[in-house]
Amino acid sequence: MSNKDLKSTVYDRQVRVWGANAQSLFENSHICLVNASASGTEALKSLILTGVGAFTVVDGAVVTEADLGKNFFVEEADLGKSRATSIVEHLKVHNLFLKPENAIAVHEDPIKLLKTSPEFYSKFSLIIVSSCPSDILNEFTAFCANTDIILINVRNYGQLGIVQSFVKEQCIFDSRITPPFTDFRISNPWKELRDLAESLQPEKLDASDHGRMPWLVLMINALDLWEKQKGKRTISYQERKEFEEMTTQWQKAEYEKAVASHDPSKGNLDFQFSPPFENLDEGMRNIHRLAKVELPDETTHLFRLLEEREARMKTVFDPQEPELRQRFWVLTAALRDFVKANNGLLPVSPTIPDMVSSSLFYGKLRQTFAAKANADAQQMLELTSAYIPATGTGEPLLVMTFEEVYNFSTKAGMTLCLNYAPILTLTEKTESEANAARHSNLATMIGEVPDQVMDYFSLYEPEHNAVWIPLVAAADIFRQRHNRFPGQANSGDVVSEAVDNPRHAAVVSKEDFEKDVEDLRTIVQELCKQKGLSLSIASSDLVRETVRFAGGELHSVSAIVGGVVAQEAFKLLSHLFLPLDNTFVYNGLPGVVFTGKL
Amino acid sequence: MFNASLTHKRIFVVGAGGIGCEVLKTLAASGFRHLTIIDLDTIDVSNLNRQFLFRKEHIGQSKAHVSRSVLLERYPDAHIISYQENVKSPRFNLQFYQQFDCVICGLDNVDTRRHVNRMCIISGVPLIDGGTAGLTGQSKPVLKGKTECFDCTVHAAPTHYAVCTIRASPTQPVHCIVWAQMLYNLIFGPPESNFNNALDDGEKATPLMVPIWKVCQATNGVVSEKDRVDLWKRAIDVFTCSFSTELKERNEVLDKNMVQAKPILDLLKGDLDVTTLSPDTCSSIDETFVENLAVHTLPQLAKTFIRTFYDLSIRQLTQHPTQDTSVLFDKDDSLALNFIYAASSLRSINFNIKRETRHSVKAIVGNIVPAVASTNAVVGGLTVLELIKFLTISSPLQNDLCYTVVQMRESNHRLLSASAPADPNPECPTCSLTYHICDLNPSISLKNFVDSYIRGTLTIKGDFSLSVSTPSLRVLYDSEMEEEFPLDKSLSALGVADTTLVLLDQCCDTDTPVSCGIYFSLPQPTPQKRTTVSGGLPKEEKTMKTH
Ligand SMILES: [Zn+2]
Repeated sequence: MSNKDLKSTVYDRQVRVWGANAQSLFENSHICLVNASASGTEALKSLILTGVGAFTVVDGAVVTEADLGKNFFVEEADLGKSRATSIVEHLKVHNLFLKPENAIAVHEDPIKLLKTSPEFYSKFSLIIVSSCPSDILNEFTAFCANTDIILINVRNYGQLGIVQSFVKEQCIFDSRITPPFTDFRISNPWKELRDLAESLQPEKLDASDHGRMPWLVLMINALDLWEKQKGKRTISYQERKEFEEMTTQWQKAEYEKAVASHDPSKGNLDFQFSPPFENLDEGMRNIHRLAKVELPDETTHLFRLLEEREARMKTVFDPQEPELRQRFWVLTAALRDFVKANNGLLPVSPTIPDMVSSSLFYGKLRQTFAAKANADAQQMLELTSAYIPATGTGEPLLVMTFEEVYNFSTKAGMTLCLNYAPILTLTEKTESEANAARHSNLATMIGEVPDQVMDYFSLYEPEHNAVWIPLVAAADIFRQRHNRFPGQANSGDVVSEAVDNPRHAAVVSKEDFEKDVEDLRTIVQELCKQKGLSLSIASSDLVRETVRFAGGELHSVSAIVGGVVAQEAFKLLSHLFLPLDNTFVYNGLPGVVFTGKL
Repeated sequence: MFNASLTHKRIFVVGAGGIGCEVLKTLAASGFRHLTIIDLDTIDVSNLNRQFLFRKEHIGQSKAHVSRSVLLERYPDAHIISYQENVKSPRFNLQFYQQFDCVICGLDNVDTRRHVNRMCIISGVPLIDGGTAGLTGQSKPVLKGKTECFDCTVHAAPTHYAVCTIRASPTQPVHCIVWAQMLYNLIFGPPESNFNNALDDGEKATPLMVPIWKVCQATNGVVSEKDRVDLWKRAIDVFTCSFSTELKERNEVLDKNMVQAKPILDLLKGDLDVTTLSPDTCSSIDETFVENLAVHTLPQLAKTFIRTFYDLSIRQLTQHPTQDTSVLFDKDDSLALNFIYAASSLRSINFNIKRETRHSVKAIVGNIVPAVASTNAVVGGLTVLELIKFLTISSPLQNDLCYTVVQMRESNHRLLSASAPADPNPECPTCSLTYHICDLNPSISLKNFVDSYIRGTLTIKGDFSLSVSTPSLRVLYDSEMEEEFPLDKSLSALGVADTTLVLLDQCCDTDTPVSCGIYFSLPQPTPQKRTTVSGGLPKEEKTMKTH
């Protein structure tokens, strides 16, 4: 087996999820892990297994007993050695195709490195900051703000898992939302579809054809009849029954006429099909598809972003940008022009669902859609050329293939662009006006906190789970003051002590525990006042709960959030799917999840 | 919070695949030290993108054994037992299950999952079932009598297509692929693949559409030169007939609702004369990444069909001396897949249907579930966390938040959603039953079993019927038609053995669900105490009820 064949076999199962294009994007990515905690290592493991082409681990720590207790990818022999080196050695074997020079360990303090040589971090496609206190995270947030580097923060704090992502601008070619956006153009068929429907009107059919007519065609004709009778193409909810009745009568009358006038020399009638017909049932189940399909909000938003971009840059094409983004905006501009030229309609997708039909009619219908999808993509392709400047010698700076345009135009209702806000930690050194709005949004999500922990979560509003953001921020402030996390016995190792394992460092005594609770409570109070969050957070039992976590990682929670980070990385690197925007908080004990924009 | 108490818990991990590797790693890293692993499979190249306990040098070795040794390297103090066996084997009986605190199941086939689910219901051992497909997955606890079990909901059966669609009027790529698979099984498959084969015309069968073994035989594993010449001619004839002559005949008798098929020979005109091909000049496509995704030309497909037909004929005749020893199509059989790819593509061209790449054809025929490392990691983690909560929190079920069914969604707003597990379905064929554990030796006669055990010990009154569920459901006894059953035969002669589940239906109306299950569990033979059962009177009987 050649290397290429081996590669295609190894990655076969996942290429079936995201396609060969996305796979090659992963293979050309360089990922940086800052701090090799258990959750970060778990995330990196999944990325390496998936075939990411290069990775760097930056970590100034050495392997301790605590690491052995919670991280699978270190062993006894690594004790006292560079953690970055150990993790890289253990993980690199999981990508058979990795070039040795692309597995890099940097045994240095990540922040010192950022301050002394920031250009070191500029080469990465994605930086994962793992289980770092928020003062470290803030530095990376500031660094990534004006770059195209994706930043993901992953934090395992006791039973909590937090994931936050940032990317300046995320262009998504196909969000793959379910159910997908569809417009079968029943209310406004294009010429060829209308011609097909007209040739298949009930009065033109043989008796045996009525039951074999695809519902889509039947409904186009029924809607025309409705318009003749009512003078409008819309059907209100109350009118649905009437519409169904009208279509039933029409179909039945035409069927009976056809039976009566049947020419026996053409063979016997096929009585397999007689009213009531299944296609009408199918059509009524799809009645909502008879309404005119509006442009999706995401598309409208996308066009607004395009306008802003043009106003800002005076052009669509920017030669400085990564090629993928150049393509995205050129295609988006072509899409906008297409929509303008086509009365607000998106290009047609060739996919139609399975339906009761003869293969002849179904085949014709499918071909009509396929031909239109091709024609629309062709029009799109022509529209792109206006936005692609040429070189001095007249060569276009970007070559668009029909296939590429077709892939974009047939998914047109599912393309979008996300702009992220910087990761919010509540420990930012400077306060902006934008952040004040975000704090008040957070305050609304969290609301008032009851004293009892279980009361809070039994209400089961996932938004409430955002409460852990200020609590973990307070724990980080505590750590800055005491050089240890609340509930942790000794100072020292910044982010490594775990409560879950026999090998971890001791937790504090009962008296010290209570003292930590009170200290943390004061910090939470200050923080809530400062950010306008409810003071009930400070008086609740959640503070005590936070001290119980003692800043440690639990392997099972690390595995979960590590997997979530890797999934997010795939979505962001592939420009497919709908990625997290921008915060995920998981509380493992009750199994409560918050996902939202902070 | 969670710690030393986990060291002594005994966990049975069924399946050491994508989820299994994650679960085993997370169990060990969370402090579990008593693990039992079972997996029948060996390590394949396509596992390496996610099953991180395995490496290239392990390919071909047992998943169970390799995962055991890799875990032991990292955790030398762990006690790990591994089995490279089918979990449905009778040795994994009730006593076996009862030694565990929990079973974790990470399998991809419904049949085995149902078996493990049933064993957990009968033995009362908690089960956590994990599954993934692409970027979505779930982890679900099964606690007898308290939560929904795997059988409480009906699992989608594979889609069946109407025979006439496959034979005469395909409209989708999948119809052509199913047709190609049927063609393969008819000519190269074992005898059972000819039952219910839509392409088999039985008596009317064209002399071409018959199993290859009816055409010629290998002598001492060698196909003679003369036969080879005939087989080559036959490959061309099957090609001509399947994609041209037969369709021309069909077009002539077509009712007007059917699409006219385009004969391949007409389309090939000028490009290729298949009759001039010979085994020396005709080559098949290669299985490379590029070929996998390529769109091949008509002459390439025609050559591939003829070539693979010929190669398969010789391979089947030499490797399987009779049709009985042949096997059904397997997606990893590259030659067979090339045949199916070529045949289905040609048929798609016949009917003007979109063609699938070889890569997609493989997914469709092989029922391949897409799999990603990260999803397995999340599901494995959730599964172990659920387990830890279950084992460490006292009376957990009073707080229904502790048990969550978690699903991940690829593009949904919320990445994970948790909900309390559903209640058991009272109509469930598995967990709604009461199970009786029967330690009678199945050498007793059917009559004795009915009279002394069913009527005696279980005190069943009135009419009832008995059936055995494995390997397929069949009736053992019906009190209303007693004379029709071999009452004097022993149960073992009727297929009942240790680990057999006999279903007792107390209602004469066959539509009503079975009312209880009798599970044969023989006492484990020990040197001191030999069990001899004579006369069929039970010595000991354990009854377990679901509620
Ligand atoms: Zn059930």
